[in-house]
Amino acid sequence: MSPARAGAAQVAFAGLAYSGDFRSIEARFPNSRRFEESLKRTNSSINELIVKSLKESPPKHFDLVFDNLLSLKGNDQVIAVALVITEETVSSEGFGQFRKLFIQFSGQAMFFDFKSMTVLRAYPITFAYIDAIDRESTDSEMNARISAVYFGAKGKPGIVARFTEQLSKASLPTPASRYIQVARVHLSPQTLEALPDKLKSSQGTAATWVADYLSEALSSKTGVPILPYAKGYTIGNILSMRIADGTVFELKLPKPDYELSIDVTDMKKVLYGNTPAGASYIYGVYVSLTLEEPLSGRVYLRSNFKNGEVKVVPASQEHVDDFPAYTDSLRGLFTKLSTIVAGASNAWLKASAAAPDIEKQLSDTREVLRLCK
Amino acid sequence: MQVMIRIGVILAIIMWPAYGQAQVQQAKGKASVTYEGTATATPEVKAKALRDAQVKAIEFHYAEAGEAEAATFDGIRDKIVLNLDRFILDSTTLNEEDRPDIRQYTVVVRVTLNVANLRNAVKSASTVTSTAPSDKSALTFLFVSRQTASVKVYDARVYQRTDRNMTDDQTTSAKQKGSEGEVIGKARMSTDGSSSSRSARGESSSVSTESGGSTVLKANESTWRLVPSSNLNQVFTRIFTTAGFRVAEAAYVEPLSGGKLSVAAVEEDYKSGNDLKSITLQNIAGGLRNAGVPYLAFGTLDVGVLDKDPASGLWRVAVTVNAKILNVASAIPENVAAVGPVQYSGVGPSEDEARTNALKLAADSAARELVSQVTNAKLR
Repeated sequence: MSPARAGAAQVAFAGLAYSGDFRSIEARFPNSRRFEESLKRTNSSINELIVKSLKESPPKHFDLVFDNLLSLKGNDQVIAVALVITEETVSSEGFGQFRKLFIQFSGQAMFFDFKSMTVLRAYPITFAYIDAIDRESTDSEMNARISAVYFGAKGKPGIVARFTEQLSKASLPTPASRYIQVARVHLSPQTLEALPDKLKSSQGTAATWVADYLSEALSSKTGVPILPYAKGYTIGNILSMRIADGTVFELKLPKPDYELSIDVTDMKKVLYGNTPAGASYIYGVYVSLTLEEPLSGRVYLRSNFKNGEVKVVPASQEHVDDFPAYTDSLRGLFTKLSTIVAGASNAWLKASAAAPDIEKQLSDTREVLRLCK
Repeated sequence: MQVMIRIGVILAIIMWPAYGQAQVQQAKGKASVTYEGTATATPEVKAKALRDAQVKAIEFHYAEAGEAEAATFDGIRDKIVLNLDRFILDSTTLNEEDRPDIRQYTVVVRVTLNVANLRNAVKSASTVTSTAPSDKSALTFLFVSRQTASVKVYDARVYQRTDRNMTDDQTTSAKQKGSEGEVIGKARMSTDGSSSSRSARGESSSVSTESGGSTVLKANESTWRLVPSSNLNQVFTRIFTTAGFRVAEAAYVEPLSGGKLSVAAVEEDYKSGNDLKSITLQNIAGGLRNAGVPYLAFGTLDVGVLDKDPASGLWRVAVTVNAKILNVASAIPENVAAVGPVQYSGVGPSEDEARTNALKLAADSAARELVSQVTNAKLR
């Protein structure tokens, strides 16, 4: 056990975990599992590297203990935290003479009560990586990319650094903590058409992808924990996860006090400029957002938003892949909105929000988020 | 010193998050209060709305637990409203809205309920608790947990019959008629002749087929193996005793029943079927009357098939409960409470643990439901 600061609350570190049906873990997280195996051959592990990172930048509001979680049974220690990987999407599609590689990882810094097996709070983390190469990647090339996802590359922090950062800022819940969650996601047929097949391969994957983007943007900008999107990760509000030593936990998700609904109504590209050197397009994303308290039906936020990102396509480029630009546009919308909700002023809002009383709505939203911290 | 104690209590609340512990549960409630005479809601109006919302949350908790529990709440409602602090550990306001245009103030709260105190309030209000120990009626129970030992599956008995009816009718008739005549006159002779023939042939045939039959399906025949249930007895004894009943285990009542109550006979009946035989029931009623025990709680906890929980990979077992309480004091025994069939499932790392968890949960829930029903029926 690491030396504890006097009076500081203690939280047990449960390690890296994969969410979902235990039988499908190998099939759902093949790249992470292969990367883990490659680390094992060098006598290392993702867990070990997470522990190293956490020891270098320990949390400010509590002490972490690194004992085996099961040894804490019967102990006074009740709160544990895990890095739960909830989604691993890797797609490699033919694109002209190139292979388009799309890697999207979602995870949660998840605090749970080890005794009652209840999720206490969760800070979402996502990492996206888009690349184009001229051939199918080999296992070792893919491992290098997965390593970048976990440990970062070229100055961009990976999932582990973001987990460490979330923990460093995170606070422990009190009985008065309120819960917020993305409860509903709807994608219009036009939106679904703009997404790659991999995101449409199973029901709910695309909705989970959108929910994760908004959750992460809001959480990282405002510091508010957000419960994981229930339809994507739970069966009957129970989230099961397997930690590194093979133990399976089944965690109950509390019911949210405030619910966010997302409706992605359209994604379309419009020609913005055309020169002999190339063309530029605006990739527009149209989203309707609602935040409400379900019991009273009080609506704090209900507005349509739009965001556009410009992408230049050189005349020499034969094939244009629209998806990365749409991703930037959607992420941009959620990040800009979250920045404003966090308190920054931004001219973007006036041009992007449809509701006339948007300032008042955002002020109400801010208040709700403050209560959820 | 007092200050120290208070700090200790506050810390305990923070360090032990309320949610999820069996004796502590959360519920939400909403209340609106209309006001007059002021432009906005006064602190008194707000306090009243908050209290109403907290009571609604408790009501919601009982409504979710089922009819019997909701009726129990009705019985103790006034007591709870007067002492809300004893039953609510903390209250979080989720939304408040003052509508001066319609003079209405609405508040939504989430409360953490002290379920142990609520149960104690129910218990103290029940007839059985207010009855002197010597006047309390004794109750015994006979619960059997069992698992399928063998299942005889009958093939469908199929009977098929086809009736074929064929008629063939043929008629042939032929008729020939001829006449010949000769007339001889004076050197003159003449002959004449005529013939006619007629023939007719008729043919008709018909075939009719009638088919039918029946398929008789016979229900599977199961035999049961009893699962050791000493921990079930413990669950039932604990819950009924805590609720204020005088509980006697059937094994101790048996010798006082004049040879009529036989635990072995009950177990034997439950090994082969779902119900007790009439003679066994009559013997139980007679035996309990002899022993001076007016109430009997009995039933079965059927352990279902073991399988792997797809989400966790742990073993999972479902248990179906059927239980009732009989008042054998009257000449014709009456049912005073009944539960089931209700299904509960338990998971665990081994088959035994999964089964024990499921049985414990099923016994606990069934016993609580029975206690609520008999409390409402004012059993003493």
